[in-house]
Amino acid sequence: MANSLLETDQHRLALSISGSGGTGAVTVGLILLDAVAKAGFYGNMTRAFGPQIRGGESAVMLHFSDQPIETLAEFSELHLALDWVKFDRFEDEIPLTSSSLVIYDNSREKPPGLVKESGATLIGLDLQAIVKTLKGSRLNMVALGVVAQQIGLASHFIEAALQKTLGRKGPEVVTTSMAAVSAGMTLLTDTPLPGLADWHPTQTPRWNISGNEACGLGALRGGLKFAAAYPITPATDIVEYLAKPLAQTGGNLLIAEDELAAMNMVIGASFGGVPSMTSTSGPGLSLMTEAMGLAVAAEIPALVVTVMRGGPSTGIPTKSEQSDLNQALYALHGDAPHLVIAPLNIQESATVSQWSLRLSEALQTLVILVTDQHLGQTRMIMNPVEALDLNLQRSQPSAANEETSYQRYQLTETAISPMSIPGMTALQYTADGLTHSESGLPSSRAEDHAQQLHKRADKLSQFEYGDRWACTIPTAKAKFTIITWGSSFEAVKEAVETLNRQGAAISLIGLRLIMPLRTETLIELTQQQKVLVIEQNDSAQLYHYLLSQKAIPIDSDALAEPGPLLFKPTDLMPRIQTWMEGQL
Amino acid sequence: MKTHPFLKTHNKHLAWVLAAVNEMIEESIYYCDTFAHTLQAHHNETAAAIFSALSPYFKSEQEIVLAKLPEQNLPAIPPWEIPHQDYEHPANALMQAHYLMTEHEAWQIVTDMIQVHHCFYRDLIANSSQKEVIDLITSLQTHCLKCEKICATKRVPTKSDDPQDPIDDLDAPVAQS
Amino acid sequence: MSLEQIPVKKARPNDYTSNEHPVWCPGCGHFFILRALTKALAWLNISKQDIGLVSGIGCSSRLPAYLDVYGFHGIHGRALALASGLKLARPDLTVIAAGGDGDGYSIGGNHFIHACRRNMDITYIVMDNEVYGMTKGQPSPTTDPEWHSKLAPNGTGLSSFNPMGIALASGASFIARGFSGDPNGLTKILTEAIQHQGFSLVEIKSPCVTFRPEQKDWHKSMRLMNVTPFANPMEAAQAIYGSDGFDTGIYYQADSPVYRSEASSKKNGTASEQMDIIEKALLV
Ligand SMILES: Cc1ncc(C[n+]2csc(CCOP(=O)(O)OP(=O)(O)O)c2C)c(N)n1
Ligand code: SF4
Ligand SMILES: [Mg+2]
Repeated sequence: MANSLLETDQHRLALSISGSGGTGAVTVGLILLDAVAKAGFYGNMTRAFGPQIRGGESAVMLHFSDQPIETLAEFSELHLALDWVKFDRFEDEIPLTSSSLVIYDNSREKPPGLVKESGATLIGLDLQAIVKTLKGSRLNMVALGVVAQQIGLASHFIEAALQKTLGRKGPEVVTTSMAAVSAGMTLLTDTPLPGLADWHPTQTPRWNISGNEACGLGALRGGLKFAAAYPITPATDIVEYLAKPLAQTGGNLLIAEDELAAMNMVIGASFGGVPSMTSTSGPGLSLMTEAMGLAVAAEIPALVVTVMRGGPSTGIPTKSEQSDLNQALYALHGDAPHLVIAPLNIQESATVSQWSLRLSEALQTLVILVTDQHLGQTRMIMNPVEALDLNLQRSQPSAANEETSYQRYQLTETAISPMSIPGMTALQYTADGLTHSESGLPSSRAEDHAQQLHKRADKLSQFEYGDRWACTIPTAKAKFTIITWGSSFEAVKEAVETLNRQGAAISLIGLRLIMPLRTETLIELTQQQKVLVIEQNDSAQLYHYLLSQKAIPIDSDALAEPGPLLFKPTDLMPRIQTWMEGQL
Repeated sequence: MKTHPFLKTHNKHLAWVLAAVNEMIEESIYYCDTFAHTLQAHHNETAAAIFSALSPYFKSEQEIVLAKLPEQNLPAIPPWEIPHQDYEHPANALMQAHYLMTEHEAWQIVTDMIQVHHCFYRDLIANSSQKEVIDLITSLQTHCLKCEKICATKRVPTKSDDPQDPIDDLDAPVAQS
Repeated sequence: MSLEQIPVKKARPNDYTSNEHPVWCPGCGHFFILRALTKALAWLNISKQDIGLVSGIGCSSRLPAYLDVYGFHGIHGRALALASGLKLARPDLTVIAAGGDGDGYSIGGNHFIHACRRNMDITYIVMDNEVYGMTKGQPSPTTDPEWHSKLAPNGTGLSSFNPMGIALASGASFIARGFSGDPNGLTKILTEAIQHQGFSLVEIKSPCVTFRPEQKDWHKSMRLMNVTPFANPMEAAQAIYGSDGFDTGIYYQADSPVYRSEASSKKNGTASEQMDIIEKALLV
């Protein structure tokens, strides 16, 4: 079994598929993912692309299990190469070892040197010959059959998945494709892979969902009624997903002319009383920062989802990195307290985004929800997640106040002021980015400035966020604590759990609420501990932030590495051990 | 002479006249108060005081009108309907205002505003044959004359008699935002 | 017409003013625009709580604070974007955006083009003094090429931008020029603009007495309300490009498709029934 180093009691299977020029590698991946799901299992699928818009080389990596799984595989057990064009681009994403089985189309290029050097078992098949015998068939469908046979996936699951993806093109398309799949299934009957044979399928309903979709779904559950955005990879999927559901639920989507507009549109809609959000990535977030400050100053609820990619500048737009934390924390000018929240994995993306939208409403402030390309674009087969039952509402002035003069930015016990919305009689006010007094009128007095600054900070710091602020996994008698966030969490968690099974005692903290930081709780959890902060960026942004807040001991360490390659549990384990020995 | 698309003809009945006159006076009151305030904000107390001083006179002029028909009963006239061919809006005089305006200039502006009233009244009388209109306008004209007299006695006679002419701003304007 | 037949006015301009007094330089053209706007709103008898007035930054953009409506004094150049979000989310409101030539045509130029193109039902008031007033007199996109300033001692040498031409080319459906020194004409234009269904540009020549004192003479050159509205963009273009900039009135008014909220075209069933459908679609 693969991943033996991890000693997991889960069944796992790692596949990858590559091809260029529209050979349909991604389609095969999507159909396989859905078919394995229909067979009663879990899995995730990540992608890698060349820079071309169409016809470029692309690859998908699939990790299946009989239990929910978010981590990437150590190496690819079965790789299917529809062709070998530019395969070297995927050397990092598709690690091949001597245990790997590589199947490729013999009629095309020969396997490149790096594949041969890996020691993998290479099997060339004459797929093209089959295609020629079957009218209207495609090579990728024949190859799909080969893979299905290799992993022990019954053809009716493939047929059901094909029905879903290709069904709208007509029944003939499905029939032709199935003929090709069936032909492929007979090509190579022997297999060294244990496959899905002795896995226990579940009967429970499961979702086929990407992290970006989950993020959009959570916002919808939170009552989202307005979104505005300008397209940017890897965030566009969020608004593309939202377009239809928003229309279905009586909301609106505005395609902005740029991110400067998108953020201001969100502020305008939210000022109108409607829960609103935008989504973007680093470069777009840069353009939004001035208006984000306006949302903070004028106390307008607004959710901004930023899906990080490699930076700076255009960086690596199609791949993941956790290097925009500083941007989310510090990009705003002035003292501009706001919330920075990050989901730890795809499975919780919907709940965390629902929570984020409701927090923006209840606290009348800007919430930056930070995810990344991996969390956003990975497609998962996972258990459905229930919507949260949150009572986080925008505070509105009561009708009783109407006769006395309304103070939009009134100082209150909770530091949250009742917010009227257009249409409410006798509660008109002018929202302003200028420093203002309680009434909302511009003021440059030191006292008003300090009062309103403190009010905006206090309403965030005094709020009771409950235990959703982090995922803490304490271990008895632990002397070591690891802190991480976002897409690094799953790999770190698996590494820590494995080491603990092997006798180590390490506690784990995955931070969701990064700003305002639960500093006191963190101090409690980490005092007397040796602390390591793990994150996927070059400058150790979270580590330095935690140190600056004095939330972790001064002698804490960092394990920070730039993207775009995600951490893998097996890479992390020896490094964590070295750190525990004081050698990092 | 310029023609105007919204020009209205003569011999209006009393309610129309009341409404039109009220509209004009209200503009004068609004601008007197508003300019008194902005001049004060610009620390030109002298000019501000002149606008503040005139405001009550316009208000009592308005009372003459509203005594005939309370405001809520006045007919609605589109605010762009120019009452007569040469009508100048009272606000036009204010376009010559500036924050360092001298006492002389301030008096000149308010006098010009009263002059607008005067011209309007003169035109209304000339174009009316209705006794109630003529009576009303006559009392308004009397009030205007009184105001003009006050301006004439209070105003600094000539431009050159202004205390400092021209006043220079020793400070450059302040940039905002 | 007898007394009874004449409609009685309900709202008065003063009903729309806030307790905050404007502190523009005495003589600034913006005062007269503020007043004309309150008069137009009163004439249209729009409830104060149903008005959203959005501005950017600049002397002109201080406008919202002086009205007793739902106002938003946002950031420099972005009023139209904010107003578009507000209008789409709240189609029931009368949404007005306001600002200066710098705010609207320079830093906000892209939003201007796209707001025209969307043709949402928004009235856009630009108080054009051909200068950045608030930052002390730098040349703006509408400044004439020869005007000398500290920042451009020999003038910019750049020909000025034609906002009405851009609006026409970009798809605005109502285009007018007003003059702040013509209170009645301006009130008329603003009234028509607010009533118009679609994006209305009201470009208003508004003297800056502090940095462009020569603009005090504008009233001598203005030809008030001497254009007739065309519904045909070709004819409107001729009128716009044929004018030396001193003719006021409505140049263009067309019945073009208006970008509206889709919220009303909601599918059958309640939002929560729709959420069930949305969630079910995720199942394997
Ligand atoms: C992002 C940003 N850049 C620059 C400024 C400085 N600024 C404030 S107002 C203004 C120009 C205003 O000119 P205009 O819009 O014509 O208004 P006016 O003051 O002339 O009425 C500038 C450049 C700012 N507030 N924000
Ligand atoms: S600087 Fe110019 S635009 Fe600004 S308030 Fe003064 S006169 Fe008006
Ligand atoms: Mg300007």
